[in-house]
Amino acid sequence: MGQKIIIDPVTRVEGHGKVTILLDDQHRVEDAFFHIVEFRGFERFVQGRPYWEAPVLVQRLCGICPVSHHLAAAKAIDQIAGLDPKDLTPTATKLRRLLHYGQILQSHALHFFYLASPDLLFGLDAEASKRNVVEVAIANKELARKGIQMRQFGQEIIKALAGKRIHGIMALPGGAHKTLKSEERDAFLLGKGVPSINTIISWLGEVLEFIKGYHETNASWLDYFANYPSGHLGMVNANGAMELYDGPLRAIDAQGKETLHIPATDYVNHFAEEVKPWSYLKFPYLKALGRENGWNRVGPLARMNVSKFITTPLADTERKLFQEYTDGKPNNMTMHTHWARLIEMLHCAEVIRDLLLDDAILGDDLRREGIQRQAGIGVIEAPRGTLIHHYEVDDKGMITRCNLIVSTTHNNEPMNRAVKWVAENVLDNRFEITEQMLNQVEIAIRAYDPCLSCATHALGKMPLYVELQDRRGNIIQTRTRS
Amino acid sequence: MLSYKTVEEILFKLEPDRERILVIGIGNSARQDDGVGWKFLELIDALGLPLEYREVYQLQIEDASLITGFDKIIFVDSHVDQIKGGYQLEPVFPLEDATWTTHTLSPAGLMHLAEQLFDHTPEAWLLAITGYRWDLGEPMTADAKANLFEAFEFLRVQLG
Repeated sequence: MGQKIIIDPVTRVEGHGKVTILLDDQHRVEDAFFHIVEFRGFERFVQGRPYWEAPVLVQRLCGICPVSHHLAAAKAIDQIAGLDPKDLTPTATKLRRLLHYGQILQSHALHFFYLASPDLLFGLDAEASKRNVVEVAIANKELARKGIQMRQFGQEIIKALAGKRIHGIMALPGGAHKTLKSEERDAFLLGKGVPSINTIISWLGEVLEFIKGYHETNASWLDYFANYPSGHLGMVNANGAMELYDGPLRAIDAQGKETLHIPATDYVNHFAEEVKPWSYLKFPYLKALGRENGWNRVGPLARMNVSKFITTPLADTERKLFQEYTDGKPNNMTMHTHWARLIEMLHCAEVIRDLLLDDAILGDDLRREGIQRQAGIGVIEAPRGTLIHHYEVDDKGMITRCNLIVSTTHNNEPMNRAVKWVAENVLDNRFEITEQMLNQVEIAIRAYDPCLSCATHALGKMPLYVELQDRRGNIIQTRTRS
Repeated sequence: MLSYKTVEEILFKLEPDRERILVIGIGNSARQDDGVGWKFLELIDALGLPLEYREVYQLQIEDASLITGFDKIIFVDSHVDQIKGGYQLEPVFPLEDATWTTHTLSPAGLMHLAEQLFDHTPEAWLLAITGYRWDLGEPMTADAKANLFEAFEFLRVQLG
């Protein structure tokens, strides 16, 4: 009798998702889905609101990456206010960049040190009770403390610029709300209340040595686990270097052939989104390649793949080592996302240091004004990948349409492929579905750091359970995890 | 009318002259009654009470470091249960809980993390306030507001 296994929800993931694995009568995997079952309707919520409210309202999408939504919306609203990125003052642009890189640093710190480290430290087959943050802290206090301090550093950057750690207001249409005071800058440079930026850079060098050493002794599963070909999408600068705040979008296929290189604001002409009945999360793809071949990973691994180099020296040295491992070819090894995330953290820290040393961030020339337009598109690289905000307004400046493609939406198909890979390689042809096996499905998903309350616009609480069904929908077995 | 105090309310003491007290308001003001935690902090600010406070969407790992700098922590959060009297005070002790989504730590889990990493846990209390509706963008319900004011008045009286 065919069976359907459901894992619900995925643990240590913001928001809620559900995994269904269909087995045939011989207990072989027939298909696998990572599907989203809640919907918040944020895009409709902002309709009818004044456009200048959008950067504030969208921060309510979730408490994990409010800064990313704030900045993406602000970039879109700049255009409605009649200003392109190049029109903003250097001070405003640099302050926004400082905010953005601080956000990515703290978000990556949380994911690596607390959400992913149980998978890395305890391996694929550790019992479920081992896989939580407290166990990591007990096993490696120094790692856990440094993770917290790196996250605090990024949070304090946000607080200094936006007024508070979550849901602060920094960007305004055409610029920035406030500048940085010299004493605030000195705190980050000299390490008052937080580690200095040079200490953060030094620590990241240590952590990168740790991950490279860890990889050397664990390459057999890190290279193999959830390794599947895909396209990769990310932002680059005019010279092809990694860019996280503003620049063209570039995509490559699994062999490295360029499949897209466009101004980010042209996204609407090149992307389509498919809706599937079993998920509220859409499936974006490149129109030119079609639904089957046009999907892309986004996030740290994708950004490493689409970038020709990194503009900061220490991170670029690490990128070279990372790319040498695959002879310069695209890296499709899902678990290497954690390695790529650390290289990005180092890049962010170097950029933050350079911005802190730039006196322009202390300036007071913060805003420009333009002539109102009818639409605006803001694109940034959020911690989890490419984030698109698109607004249209009427003559009175009221929002008439909003479309958001968040990072986790781009990664929808990649996460489904990862689940299917695990199902085929780990679960296939086994009658007994163990807790360890189910956890491997979750490890594959967690590598993408999905933020599902953001991606699905959902908040809520769902029970954690495993359900087996036959093809006719009859429940064969249920299993609850707590 | 006779009023009564729970054991917890009798044991609960605030001495801002002698101890550093932090109130952490948990919630989201964009989600109706989920905003009571933040509204509580606004009242502290408006009345100038001698308490430090921090507004959070959810408890996260770095808050383990934050709370070690205080003698007493009061977590204020909305609650879906219909609590008699509209609010409830309970002590929080470190607990290795099974919080699976660690983007959101429980107060007890946060205390446990602080204990493990920093070898210090302050005295902590949870002030849970009953909420009724959680829709996006709508105002707080009148009943939740009433509960909020009752809970706030309780805290204010403790300060003398």
